Amino acid sequence: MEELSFSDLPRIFFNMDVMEGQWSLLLSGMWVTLEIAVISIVLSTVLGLFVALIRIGEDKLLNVLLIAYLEFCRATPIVVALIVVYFGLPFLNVTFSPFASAVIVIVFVHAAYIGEAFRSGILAINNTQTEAARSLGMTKFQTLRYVIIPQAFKLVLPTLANQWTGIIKDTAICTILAITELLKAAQIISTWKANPTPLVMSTVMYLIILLPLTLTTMKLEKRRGSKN
Amino acid sequence: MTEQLSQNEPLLSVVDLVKNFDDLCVLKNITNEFHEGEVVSIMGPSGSGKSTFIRCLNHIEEPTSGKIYFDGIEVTNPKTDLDTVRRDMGMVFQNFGLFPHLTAIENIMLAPLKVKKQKKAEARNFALKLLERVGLSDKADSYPKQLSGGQQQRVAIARSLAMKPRVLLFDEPTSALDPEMVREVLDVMTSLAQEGMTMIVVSHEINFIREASSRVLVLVDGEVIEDGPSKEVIDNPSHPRTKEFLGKIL
Repeated sequence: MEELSFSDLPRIFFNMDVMEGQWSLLLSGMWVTLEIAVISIVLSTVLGLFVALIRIGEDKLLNVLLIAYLEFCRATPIVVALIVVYFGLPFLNVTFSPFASAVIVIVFVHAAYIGEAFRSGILAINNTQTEAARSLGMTKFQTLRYVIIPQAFKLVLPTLANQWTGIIKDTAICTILAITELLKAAQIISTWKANPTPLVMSTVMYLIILLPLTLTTMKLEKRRGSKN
Repeated sequence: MTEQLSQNEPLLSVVDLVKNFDDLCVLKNITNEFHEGEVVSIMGPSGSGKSTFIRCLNHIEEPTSGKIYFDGIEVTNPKTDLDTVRRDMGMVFQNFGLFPHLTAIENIMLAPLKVKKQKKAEARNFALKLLERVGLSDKADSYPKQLSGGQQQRVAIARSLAMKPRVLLFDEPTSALDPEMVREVLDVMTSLAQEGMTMIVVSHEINFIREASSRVLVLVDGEVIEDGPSKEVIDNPSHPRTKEFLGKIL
């Protein structure tokens, strides 16, 4: 192997000649990543809210099932869940497209965490709020919908934003399937051009997507901290 | 349900009401009646069960046994639709319980819009009238945290009135307030009493009880030890425990 010097770094990691004609593949990969992320964020947030509502309910059996589900998600690597769904379930004649498998697994795992976040937010709302709403004749559902959840949502927004960041990062597990999302696209180009620059560029793109979100989260957390 | 009750028929009646918290018996067989237009105060030392009693009336607290009838409907019957019953029973809390994510007027409009399905313009007009009535016309768009305690409690009263309740329950409405704000809340309550609103008030405000309420119940250790016209009970208490209690707060 030839001797490498410090001055070789730009040629290896920031070689724009390598990227020539390849940006469209990388950008389409970024688009796929965003698609998976947005769909997963919306679905896991909605599902997480349902999980939280069942968790605060009194049904013991459902609660035990949900705790088992939560512990399963906490104690298994997400990539294992993905392999089980995509490569395992077909043995039961249940087959999902790579895209669907990715979304199902991400939503399944993150809804558990988001559910816990919502649950702690709902429990943090003072009981007088519920009593005030119920004493006005509002139903349980109306109380949750118009009084408790809006307040809980505000309270857990920083935690939610953190989870959403995690979801976007977890889209990278799709590289093990036949989905050309951002990381996979970068790998393809990198292998073909025998140069790591595309991988570095994909990192930059992840940063472009995620930095606004993480910075906003930090701001929200600061604001929440100063309020208390 | 909204027909006028005959003179003798109580609006709200309580029969053998018992409430236990685990082993602790907080209310012991309370029986009483409240008539339309009556303003009844409830006083007693802390821990005597006043708040628990008033919270049982609209079933925010579930009684252990006994029966409560409101307008002929048995509130304590498990088959009774409590949401419907509660529309006609307003409640004002010690800690106001305003919804912090809504403005004053939104707080007032929420239940009329969602529970009574009123039109927005109609709910808004009535809410503005209520704000004027409690002297807060200029605070319609303020959020609770921008209001003083006294102002918040007045908004809370307006919010209860928005449902046009047949009885208003007050659970120590002034005890969380700074002294200089107690007056503005009591003034609103006094004017409501004068207008004929049926009210049940847990309070220690002796002047309010004496002047604005027609009857007072003295609750000690979960029992009503005295029940009579406010002035009589306060000026000439008959029970030694009442004397002792009044001696402490006067």
